[in-house]
Amino acid sequence: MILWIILIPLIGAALNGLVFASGFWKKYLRGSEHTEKTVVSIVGCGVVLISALISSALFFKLLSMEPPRREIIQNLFEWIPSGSFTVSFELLLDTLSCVMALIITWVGFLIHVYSVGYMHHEKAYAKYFTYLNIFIFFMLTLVLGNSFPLMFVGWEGVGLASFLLIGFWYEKPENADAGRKAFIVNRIGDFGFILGIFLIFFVFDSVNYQEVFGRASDPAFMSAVPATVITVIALLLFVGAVGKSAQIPLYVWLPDAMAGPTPVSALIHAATMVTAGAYMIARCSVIYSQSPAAQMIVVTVAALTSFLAATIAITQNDIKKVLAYSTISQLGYMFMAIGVGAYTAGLFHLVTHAFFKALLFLGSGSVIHALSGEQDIRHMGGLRKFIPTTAITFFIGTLAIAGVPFFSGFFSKDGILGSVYERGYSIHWMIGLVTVILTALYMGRLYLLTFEGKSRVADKIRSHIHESPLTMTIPLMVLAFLAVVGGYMGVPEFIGELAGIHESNLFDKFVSSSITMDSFVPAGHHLLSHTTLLIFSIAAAAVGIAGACYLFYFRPSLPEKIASNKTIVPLYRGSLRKWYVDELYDYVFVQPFRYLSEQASKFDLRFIDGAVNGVAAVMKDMALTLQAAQSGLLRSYATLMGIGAFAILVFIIIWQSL
Amino acid sequence: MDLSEVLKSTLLIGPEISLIVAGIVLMILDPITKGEVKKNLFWVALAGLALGFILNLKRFGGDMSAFSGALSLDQFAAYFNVIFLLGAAVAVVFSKDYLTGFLHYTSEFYALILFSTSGMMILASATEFMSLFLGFEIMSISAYVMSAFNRSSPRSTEAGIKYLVLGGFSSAILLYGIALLYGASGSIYLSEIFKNFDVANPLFVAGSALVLVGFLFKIGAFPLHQWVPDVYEGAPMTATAFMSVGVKAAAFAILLRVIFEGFYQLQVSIMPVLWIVAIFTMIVGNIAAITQKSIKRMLAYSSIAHAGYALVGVVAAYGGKELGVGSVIYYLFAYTFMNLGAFGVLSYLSRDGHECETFEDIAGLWGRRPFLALALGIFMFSLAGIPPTIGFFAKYRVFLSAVDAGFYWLAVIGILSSVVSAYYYLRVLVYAYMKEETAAFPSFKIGSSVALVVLSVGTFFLGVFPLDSWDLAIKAAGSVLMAFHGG
Repeated sequence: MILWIILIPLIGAALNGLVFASGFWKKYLRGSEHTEKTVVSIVGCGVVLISALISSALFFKLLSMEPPRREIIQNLFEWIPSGSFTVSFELLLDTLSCVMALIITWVGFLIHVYSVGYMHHEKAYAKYFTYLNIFIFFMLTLVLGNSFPLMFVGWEGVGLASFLLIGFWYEKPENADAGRKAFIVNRIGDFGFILGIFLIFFVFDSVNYQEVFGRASDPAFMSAVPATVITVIALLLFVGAVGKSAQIPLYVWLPDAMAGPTPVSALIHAATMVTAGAYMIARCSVIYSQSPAAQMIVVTVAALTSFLAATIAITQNDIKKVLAYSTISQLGYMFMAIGVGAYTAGLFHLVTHAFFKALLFLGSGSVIHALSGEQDIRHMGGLRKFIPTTAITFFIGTLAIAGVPFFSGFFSKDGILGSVYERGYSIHWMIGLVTVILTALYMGRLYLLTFEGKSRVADKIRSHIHESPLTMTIPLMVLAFLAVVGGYMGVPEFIGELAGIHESNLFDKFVSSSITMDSFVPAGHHLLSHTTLLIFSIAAAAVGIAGACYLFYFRPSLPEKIASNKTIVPLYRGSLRKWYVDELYDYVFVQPFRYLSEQASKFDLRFIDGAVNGVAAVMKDMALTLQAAQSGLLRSYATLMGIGAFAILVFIIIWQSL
Repeated sequence: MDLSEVLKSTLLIGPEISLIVAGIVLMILDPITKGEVKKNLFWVALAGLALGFILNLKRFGGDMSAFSGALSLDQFAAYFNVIFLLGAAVAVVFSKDYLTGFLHYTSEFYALILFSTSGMMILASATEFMSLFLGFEIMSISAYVMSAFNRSSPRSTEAGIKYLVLGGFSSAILLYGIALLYGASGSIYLSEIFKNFDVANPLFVAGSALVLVGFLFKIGAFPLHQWVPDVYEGAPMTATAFMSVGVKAAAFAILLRVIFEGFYQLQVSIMPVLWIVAIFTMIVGNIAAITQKSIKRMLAYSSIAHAGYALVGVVAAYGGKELGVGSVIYYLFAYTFMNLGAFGVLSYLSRDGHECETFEDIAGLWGRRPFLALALGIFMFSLAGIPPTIGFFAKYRVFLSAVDAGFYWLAVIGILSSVVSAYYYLRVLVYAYMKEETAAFPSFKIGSSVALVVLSVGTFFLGVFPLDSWDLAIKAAGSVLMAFHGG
């Protein structure tokens, strides 16, 4: 049954790819373009819907099982039998992968439907849906595989799909470059990941989840393994996660990835693929929980990423870039929770983030669609009157991400900040809190500059601003609904208790049966009580929103003045230019590497090719010599034959008598 | 040997007889038929070959001997017979399409193929020098005639003359060797020679060496290879195809049998000779092929190189190793598919006496005859030893057995020299796939097409699933090594 979840999207991709994207339909069957688009849409969305329905059915099956052993394993075949090393093609559906599969298929389905409207005018429509289905297939393989190699297959596969979709409009060189950048930066992370898998095999003698984690939680086994080795494994895996989930220092690919179609940004670069790193670490919770050093590194990197990305988001003018940095920042939140060992809190934020960030991205796509491709918020403003559905849903998304009480982001974010503080990472908590202010500020800015105030839209475009078709607005509405209510399935215990509800965190209860938590007991006597924590974070959101309203609604001329203030200018400029990180990488890595490869190329041309060509020349000379010996004269052949026969005879006689 | 023994033995050699009968029937029918019937006489040849094939299958069941031990009808010979019969049948089909373009006396050609094939089959089974020489000459003389068959072409005639004279020379050497061995042992039976072999007796040593030279000539091994390019290039395309596969395989069959059933005590000195011969054969074949301007001549040199690879397997059989012998047998089996296929494509493209032989002749094939180009691609990849083709598996087996037997240098040099071959095989594909067409291509030929489908599917399919045919080759190797290991 689990197999079908991943197989059906692959079938869809094969069908759309082989029949339509290949040109077979148009060229050989002479089918019409209209039929093509209809069939591609139905197949493309339909297969994801079927996957989603199967995932949901299996979700209920899991619910009907006893909590501690809620898992289904499907062993398909022996994939790599090689001596003592064997990998089975085995799928695992436990509560963790089930949640991931539900998000991927359902959010994925909504985004597929949205794409029908958004990509309608696209020529390579079939190719687009083929890639999208391939992505779903690999993403599901990633989360449903029951071994590290299978996860790696999915991991690389989604990287491929991401590369293909970022560079989807490859005629523009910068789009193709963005695709390459994403791929190459991810390769750095993948390198760490695969080294981590090697080391896991070396230490645990298996790559199967049950065996690895079983041994890792066995004290007798672990007593023979040095703690440093566990830390090294955890950090190598984290390198992989840093690449895929865009954390410092490998986050630079994600903003550029916005070159792809907007639904792709929503699906791959916000809701699903970039959260694979968080999933992987949650999956390896047994290993991380045994390495406090690795946890410290994870949480610190995460907090810094979260803060840094927020500071950049605040000055960006491209609507998608703001959301991209916001995604990096929110991923930082997830990793903070996961780093301190609050895995379910991190995963819950993953879920709510999938709702509201997909919503925001799709909303931005709707805006771009309405404005015939305009992405610069300086040329927007006052759009609420023209595209009300988009504006309202976007507004809901903004409130959710800003952490306004009773919206989903509020619960998941406070779950994270609460556990970070409870577990004694006060400094990280403070960074997180400041980031909440920044988040509210940049999201408020984004919403206000786009939808409120005076219109700054160019006259030429203004005349044909239009609300998006239903295929686009319905997904927006569904996601907006989820962004509001999605939080209630995982209300953090400390908030629940304030309202007098016990065991309010259903999400935690469900997912935690798949996760080995470290033995953390709330100490109970911290400097700040739960209520105080809550007040702090609500206040932070309020400050951010108020600031945004003041600066970008009531005093729209003020931001420019602040930006041109002498002491602020370097900060503003730095933020606008993304703290020159791309330039730094270019100077430190890209240029030296390019120099090195140019030298290597010269060496290759001169010496390696020279040697190869030299050998070839020698061969040719020999061939010509041999040709000369082939005179064509019978008598010379006979003579040579006689000499040869005689030589063999003499050789054998001499050798035999030796 | 009384009459009943003769009769019993005659019944046992059904496969050989069916070929000879079919050949004689062809010779009788040819002058008395005309028109459509005459054109379709090749069916008689095919029927004879099919009957031979079916009767031959029985020999896989167990080893038998006929004519008081003059012929050993064992699995070893049976496996080789499959190669001969397959090669002959495909050559007949190709010839039907190829020869009718410019010759009207085609039936004789089929008869010659049948006679030559019967000679090969006797040769592969021979365990006594008289039968051996008989088979050897039946095979060779038919081949000489086939080479000169296009009598209006000076090149074909020249090829026939050269083959005849040099072949006669080598037969003389072989016969002289046989005489010396008879003089030393008093017998012409391999088993007797085997029993009485005395390495201190120079007659035994010299006799064996001369016999060896005779076989190496037919194999086309260095330094007795010079006739190969001239004969192969001059002979009609399908004659070349048939000779390069059948005659070569037959010579290898008898070489293996004589070494392991006759004078194995000499292997201490034979194997070093073959070691050197194999290396030079591979190098000369591969390097000389590089600069050829004619595909046909290139394939002739390539067949020298392939003989070198098979010789590697013979060396690897040193000490009676089944893997070595098996790899030689399997190599020849594989070579039958891919080389016949390569020549088959060329004969398909030849028309009205114009041989398709230069690179320009196949330029642009992909655009005009995509399936033919595809088949050519499969054969060239297989000849170059690229997986997943049978050529890869066969080459892999040969070099693996060499490494297994400890002949590391032989394997290394062999593999390096085969790297060179990729150049000239792929060059064919460059012309077929990437150049503009310069010559007109002939129309569809049904028979050749069927044969090419069989060969290309076989080349590919046996490359993916090689193990059944490989197991049979190992069994065949076991049956020829029986005497060796028994003694």
